[in-house]
Amino acid sequence: MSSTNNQYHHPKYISRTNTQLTTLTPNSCLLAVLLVTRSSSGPTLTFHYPPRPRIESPQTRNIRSQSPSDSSSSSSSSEDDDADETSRTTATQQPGAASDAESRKTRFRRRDDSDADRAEPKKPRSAETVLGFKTEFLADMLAPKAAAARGRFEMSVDDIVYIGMPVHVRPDGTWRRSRKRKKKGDVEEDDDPDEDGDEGENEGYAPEQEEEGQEGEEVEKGVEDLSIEDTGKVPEDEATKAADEDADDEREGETPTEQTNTESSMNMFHIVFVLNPPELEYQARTLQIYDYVVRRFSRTLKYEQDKDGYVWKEAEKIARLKEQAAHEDISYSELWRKIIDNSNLAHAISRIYIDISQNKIAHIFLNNHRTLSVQIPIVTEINRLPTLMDQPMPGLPLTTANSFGDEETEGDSILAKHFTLLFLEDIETIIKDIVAEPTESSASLAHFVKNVKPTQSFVQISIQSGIALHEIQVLARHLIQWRKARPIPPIHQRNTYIVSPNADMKRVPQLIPVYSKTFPTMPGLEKMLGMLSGPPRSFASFIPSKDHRGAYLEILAWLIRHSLVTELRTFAWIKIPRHIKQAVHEERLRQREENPDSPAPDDDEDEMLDEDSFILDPSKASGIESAWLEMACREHSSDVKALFERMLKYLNGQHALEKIAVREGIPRKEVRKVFSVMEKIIVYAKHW
Amino acid sequence: MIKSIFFSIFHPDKGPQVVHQVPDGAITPSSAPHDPPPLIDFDQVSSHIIPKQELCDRLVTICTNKYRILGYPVCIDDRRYTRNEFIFNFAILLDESDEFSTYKSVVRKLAKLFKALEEQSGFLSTEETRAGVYALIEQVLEDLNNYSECLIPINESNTISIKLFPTYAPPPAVKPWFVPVSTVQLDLIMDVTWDLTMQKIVPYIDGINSVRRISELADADPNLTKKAISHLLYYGCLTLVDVFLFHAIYAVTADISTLLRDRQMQDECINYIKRTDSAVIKFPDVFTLFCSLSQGLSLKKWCMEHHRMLRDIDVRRFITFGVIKGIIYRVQKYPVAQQNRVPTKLQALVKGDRCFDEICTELQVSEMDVIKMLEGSDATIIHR
Repeated sequence: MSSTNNQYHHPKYISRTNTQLTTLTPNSCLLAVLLVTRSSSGPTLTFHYPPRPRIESPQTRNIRSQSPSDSSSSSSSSEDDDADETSRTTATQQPGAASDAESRKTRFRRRDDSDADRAEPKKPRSAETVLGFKTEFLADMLAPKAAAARGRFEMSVDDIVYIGMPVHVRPDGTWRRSRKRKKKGDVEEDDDPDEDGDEGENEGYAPEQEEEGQEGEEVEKGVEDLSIEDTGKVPEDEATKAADEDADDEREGETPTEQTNTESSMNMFHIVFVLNPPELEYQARTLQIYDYVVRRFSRTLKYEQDKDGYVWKEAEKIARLKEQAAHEDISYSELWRKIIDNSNLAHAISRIYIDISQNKIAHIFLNNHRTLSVQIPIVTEINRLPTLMDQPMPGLPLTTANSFGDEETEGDSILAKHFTLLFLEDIETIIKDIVAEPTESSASLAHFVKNVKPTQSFVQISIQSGIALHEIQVLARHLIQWRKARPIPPIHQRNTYIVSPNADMKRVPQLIPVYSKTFPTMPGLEKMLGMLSGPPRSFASFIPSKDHRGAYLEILAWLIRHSLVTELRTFAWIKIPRHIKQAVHEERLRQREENPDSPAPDDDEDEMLDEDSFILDPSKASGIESAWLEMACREHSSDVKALFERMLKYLNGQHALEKIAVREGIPRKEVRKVFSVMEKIIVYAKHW
Repeated sequence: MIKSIFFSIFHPDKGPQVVHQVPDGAITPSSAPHDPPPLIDFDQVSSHIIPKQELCDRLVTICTNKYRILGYPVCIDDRRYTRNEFIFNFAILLDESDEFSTYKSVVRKLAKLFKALEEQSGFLSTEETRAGVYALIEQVLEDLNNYSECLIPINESNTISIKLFPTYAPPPAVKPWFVPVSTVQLDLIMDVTWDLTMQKIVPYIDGINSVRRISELADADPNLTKKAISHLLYYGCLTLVDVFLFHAIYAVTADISTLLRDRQMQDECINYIKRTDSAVIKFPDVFTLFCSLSQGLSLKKWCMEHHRMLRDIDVRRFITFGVIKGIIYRVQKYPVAQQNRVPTKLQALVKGDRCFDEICTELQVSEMDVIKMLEGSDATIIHR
């Protein structure tokens, strides 16, 4: 077959548009998180994490090594194949990894130690540099003038992006407008109206408990505390400068009656996230981190700062520790560990860095009372199989089954009631996590978790457990959001399952022993997958006996959970054969002969009598299409006709036929019967 | 679209100053009283436009008022300047949401060019020559926005020559067993200046040969071959498919429905798959044929079942079309066997993570040979 000539070389080429140019596999591109504060003595880089941020992270290296114009990359390595593989996986963390059940604490410690293990000088250098800049310069660069800093801050130097939301003290010394003042009708620009409203929905297991009532009192107390420390520290000229900046703020429509902010010497704080996104993903990545992490974290800190001067207290604590360290013989990483142990805010920043950079959910506990959970949502399933030209996303579940916003549900936010949950972790682990954070809802959540079976739909679970369906939908959504579970159509032995074409086969060698441990007496993983490799058959046909059914369904759930297997569903279109078109054509000719006055029907489609025709959307069939359908059904009983009419809307290639029985409440047997009767006008395609 | 280009300097007395801006009044208020207010407040970002040394000779961007400013501040140290240094920046203003990576090279180029001019003749620090900057940046803005390139002579030896290149995604990974299919007629666009490996391999890119095979046939280094193919992929001259085999299995993907709704793709399909120019192929038949591909059914068997409908269809091109469009996929086979019961060279390859294509390419044998080697090892073959 060594055809060196171009005999197969057709003059026509297939056009191909790249449909997934920038796939958004999880990749926070996060290099560091910085806390910049500005007091009357100028801006300071108060804290940053990790202690020594890398300037370049794997993902940029990855992009560069893949660029063909870069001649230095991979030219010498004969195994650059594998190098490609590893760099790809490091750049875009395996989707499955995001849900691993590793305990948060151990993760944290491990990471922390590895940072500390690096060789380093014993004493913190006096002229410290971070991200290639002297810290003083970096702080200056990231401390925008008050008037310029409404909302988002974004700048970049070469390929490194700095994104944040600076928070400025208000002219009256407070940090956020209180509810009462808001009612006066002022429109505040930097404060979205949803400020407190949007936080509840994204919270962790513990729903937000606002302490609005005590707010005023506590703020006052905080200011008092601060004023003691500040007395006499403010140099004259700096104070005037601060006042000038306040004057800037006045332009925002604020007329402060008294200048109280001199009591606190911090006039701005700015949490800055440092990223190095690949060029083509710049906008998407920066937007993501801003919307999901930067804004929420900054707002929460603003709230706490307003409440009792939390941020400034923490900043001072960190500054003291750094100062102490300068006099002691203490290593850089020891200092950082000390800061994290002693400062609640530093600890929170380190947690956010660690979890977000690993595409996990960061749960933090601030100022002794407030929990906050932030995450960049990840793609949890795909419906389109990546081709060789697309970025591979191995291990992501592949299905077109849409659990939200299906036509049967009222809106995008409500889970389809005929779906169910597949847990991504052990139920015991999930329940332990729920119990660990006791809230009002944790009891019902635990109750629900215990009652979920992947073989039963929410409707069935509701009936059996007595939990109201709408409550189930809320609880299930919560578990999905926190990456504990995935919505799936219930597993059923009569359904057909195949090895997912998007299964991550690289994981198979490691999964084989894991599987054997879980199902020691059952055929091995490879045998199970081999069994699902032949021509598609219903899963029931693989179950040796009734006694095996439970175990086999459990295995199936395990295989789906590991994205090795997906349901093969059937889709259908109506194709009108030419003889029916011919018959309709002739009948119409006859009618016209008999009654010449009758209006000529729209005969455009009537032309191509020598080929079959697809009816793309049978529920909106045109005149001629309806005539064809009528002709095709003519010979069948009225029962069949009536059922077929109800099923028509599913026959446009967009709906899995498997769901007709449940949705329409037609017995499966009847559905099958209608399909077999109408066989001649239906074309099937089987996919996920 | 560039909203504005402006030239600013550090003035020894007044600090950061915008010297020229196009359009006039875009950055700092213009002299005309009724002009609209500037797009941004220059004073708020001036410290990032005319920054300290640390940010000089680097690409610095800053967002303000829904705009993004791209700049490349330059600092020249020289005794002849009032403060022993001269700082300037040619910055570009874009909408914040615009894709800006293509403009990075523009500001870099402007910075380097004017730095050279300044060093040669004090072009920017001398009032008379500096006055000409306005006309230059005006021309650059117009030409780049209208033609995506500009070629503007400054003096006998200097020219502003800029072309905007779109930034493409990095090409997909190229494996030795992948088959490149050209999307353009490569031999027509190739000329003698092309890379030697490229010239050697192009004749063998026929939509049938795998990357490995191409390097063998062309007697080219496998890694260089792979690189050349990456290069062609990057510029969209190629696409990748799996090796076509009659004993392979193909099945439809969820994208199959796009074919039914896309008339243009239907015509393209029919023209591509027909055996002869005079052959008449009906699209509904083609679609039905695609839908009949299924897991567990080898192409060979499928051909026998549908031979009557396939008379005018080139099956290889039919499959290639489907794979390239993503409406069908090749079901890959992964053997898993007890490692101690297979030949040594096979042991590392039968853990379930490698498909036959990879194993065959690695060992330079056929799939049948591998299956023979697996006999008696209680091997399972996973179809994915």
